[in-house]
Amino acid sequence: MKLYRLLFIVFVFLIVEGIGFSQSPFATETVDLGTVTPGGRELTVIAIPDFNPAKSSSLLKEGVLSEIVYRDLELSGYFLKPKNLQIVKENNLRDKKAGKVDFMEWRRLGASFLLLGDYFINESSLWTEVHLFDVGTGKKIFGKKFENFKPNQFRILGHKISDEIIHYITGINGVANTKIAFVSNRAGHKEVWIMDADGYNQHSITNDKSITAVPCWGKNATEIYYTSYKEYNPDLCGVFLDGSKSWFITKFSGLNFAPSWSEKTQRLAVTLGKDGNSEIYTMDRNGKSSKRLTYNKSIDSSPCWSPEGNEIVFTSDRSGEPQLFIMNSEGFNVRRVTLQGRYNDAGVWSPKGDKIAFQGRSSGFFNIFLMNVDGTDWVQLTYNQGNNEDPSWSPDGQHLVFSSDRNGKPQIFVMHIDGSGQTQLTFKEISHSSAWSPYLD
Amino acid sequence: MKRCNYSRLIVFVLVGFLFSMVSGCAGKSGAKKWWHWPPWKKASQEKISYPEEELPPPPDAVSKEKTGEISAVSPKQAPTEEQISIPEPPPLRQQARPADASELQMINFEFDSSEITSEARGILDKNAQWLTENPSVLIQVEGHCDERGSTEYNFNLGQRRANSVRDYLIGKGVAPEKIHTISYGEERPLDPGSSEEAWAKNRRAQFLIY
Repeated sequence: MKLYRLLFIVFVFLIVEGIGFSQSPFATETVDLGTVTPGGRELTVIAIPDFNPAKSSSLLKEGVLSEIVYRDLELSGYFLKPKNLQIVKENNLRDKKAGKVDFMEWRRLGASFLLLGDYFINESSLWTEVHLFDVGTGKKIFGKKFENFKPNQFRILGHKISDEIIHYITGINGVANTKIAFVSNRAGHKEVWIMDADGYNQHSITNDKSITAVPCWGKNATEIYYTSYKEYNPDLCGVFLDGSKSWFITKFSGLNFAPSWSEKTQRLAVTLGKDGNSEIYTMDRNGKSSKRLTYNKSIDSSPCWSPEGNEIVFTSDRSGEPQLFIMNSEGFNVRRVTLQGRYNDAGVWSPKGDKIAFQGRSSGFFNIFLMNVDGTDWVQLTYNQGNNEDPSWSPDGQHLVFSSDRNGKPQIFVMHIDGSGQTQLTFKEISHSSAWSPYLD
Repeated sequence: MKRCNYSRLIVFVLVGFLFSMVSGCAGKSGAKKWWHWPPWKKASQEKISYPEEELPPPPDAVSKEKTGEISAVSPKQAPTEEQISIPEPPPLRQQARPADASELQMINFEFDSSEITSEARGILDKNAQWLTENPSVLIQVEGHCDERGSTEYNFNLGQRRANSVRDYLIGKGVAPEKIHTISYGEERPLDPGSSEEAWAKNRRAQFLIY
C-alpha cells in the first residue's frame, strides 16, 4: 500500500511538472533567436461582382477593375475573396434583373461586405461609382464617385477605391496606391525599377548600363536616391521618378552608398568611404552642408532615419561583427540594440516609430526579424525559406517588402508584419534591394 | 522488511529527480532569460570630439589581430601612424583593363575577413615588386565578396578588402597616389555558383591597370 501511495505521488508530480514545462517559453524554442509563429488572422469576406459598364466598351475588359480591388484588399491582409466566384456572378445577375440586392443570398455565400460598381470609359475619360454594403444589415456604408481619370489610369482608380474601402472599414489609410522601388538586372544591367504595390506596372527609371544599388525614396516621394557605378565609381545619384532629371549627390573616392531620406528634416543620411573606412554622414539632397556622425575605424553603414528624424539606426561592426546601433542625429548617444545573433544588418525604422525590422543571420541563412526600438521583443518573420534580406516598411507600418531567394534567384516579396501573407511580386531574373514608397497623395 | 527498503529507494529516486528538475530549471532560466536583458546604458550626453569608445568584443570572438605587421584594417585596433590609411586620389573616371597574370595577380580572402593571408602576402610582395619596376602605372584594386553576406554589408567588406590591399602595398613602398580602390560587394562574382569553391574564388581582390 505504501508503495502504491508513493507511485501515485510520483505520477502526480510528473503530470504537474509536465504541464509546467509545456507552459515554459523554452518548450517551443527551436532556434537560437526568439521565435513566434505568425498569429492567426481573421479575414473578412468581401464580394465584388464585375463592375457594370454604363456603356459597353472594348477599352476596358469587364472585371478588370474588380480584380484590381480584390487583389488590393487581399494584399492588405484584412479581406478575402468569396470561395465561389461563380455564385458571385449569379447573385449579381439575379440582383440586376430584380432591380434590388437580395442580401440573404449574399449572406448565404458568407460575404460580410458587398461592393457594387458602375463605370464609364471612352478615349478621353474614365469614371467609376461604387457603393459598399454591409451584408449582415443590408445597409449602405458609403457611395462614392471617382471621376476625372484618364482611360489609362484605370489601375490608379482601382487602388483609390481599395484604399477608400480599407479606410472606411479599418480606419487605416491603405497602401494600395503606393509604389515599390527595387533593383533588377532583367534588362541586361542592374537598374532601378519601380512597380505598384500590387506588383503591376514594373518599369525601369534608370538607364545607367552599369550597376545600381540601394535605391531609397526621396523628397516629396518624387525622386529616388541610389548608388550608381555609371562613372566608374560607386557614386550617390538622384533621379526624378519620371526620369526627367538626374544629378550627382556625392562623388567621393570609395563608397557613396546606402542613402536614407528624412522628409521631416529634409536630410539625407549616407555611408561614405572617403575617410579610409565606411562612415555615416548627413547632408542635403545636393550633397551640401554635410556633417560627419561616426568616427570609428569599424564599418559604420546602412543608416535609416527614425520617422521624427531625431535618431538613426545603423549597422556597425565595432564590436567584432555587424550589429545594429542607434545614435541621435548629431552622432551622439550611441547604443547597441541587437544583443544577440552574430550578424545583423539592414535595420529599418517603422513609420510608427516603435519597431525596427532587420535581417539577421542564423544557421547560415538570413531571416527578417522585428524588434522594439529598445531591442526587446524579438520576432522572427521568415523561416526555412532561403535568404530573406533588406526589409522596408509600408507607410502604414502594417507590411514589409523584402527580397528572398527561396524560389531560386532573389525576388521581391511582401508580407504583413506578423509574417503572414507572404506574396511574391517579381518573377524575372534577379530583383532585390526593395524600398516601399511613402504615401503618394 | 524487503518492502520497506523498496519504498525508501523510491523516495530517494523521487527526491533526486525533483532536485535535478529544479536545478535544471534554474540553470535553463539563468542562461536564456534574454528578454529580461537590462536596458542598455545611455552614453554621456556631453559633446566629445574623440573617436567613440568601442564596445568590448563578445567573449568568443576570434581575434583577427596579428602583431608586428602592418595588418588589415581591424575594428579593435587603435589607429597608429602606419595604420591610418593615406587618403586616396580622386577616382579616375575611365575604363581600366584587367591586369595580366604576368603583371599583377589576384589574391583571395577568408570568409567574412579582410585580412591579408600569408599566401596573399607572397602574391602581394610580387605585385609590389612589379609596381616599383613600373612606376608610371596607375592601378585599381577591386574588392569582392561571396554572396553569403548581406547585400549592403558586402559592399563595405569589399571596400575594406580593397583598402587592406592598398595599405599593404603602400607599406611595401608603392606610391599611394598610384593606387585606386573600388568595391563591388557581391555584384561581380567570378563564379556564379553556390559552392564552397565558387565562394572561395569570389572572395578576392583583383587588379586593373589604367
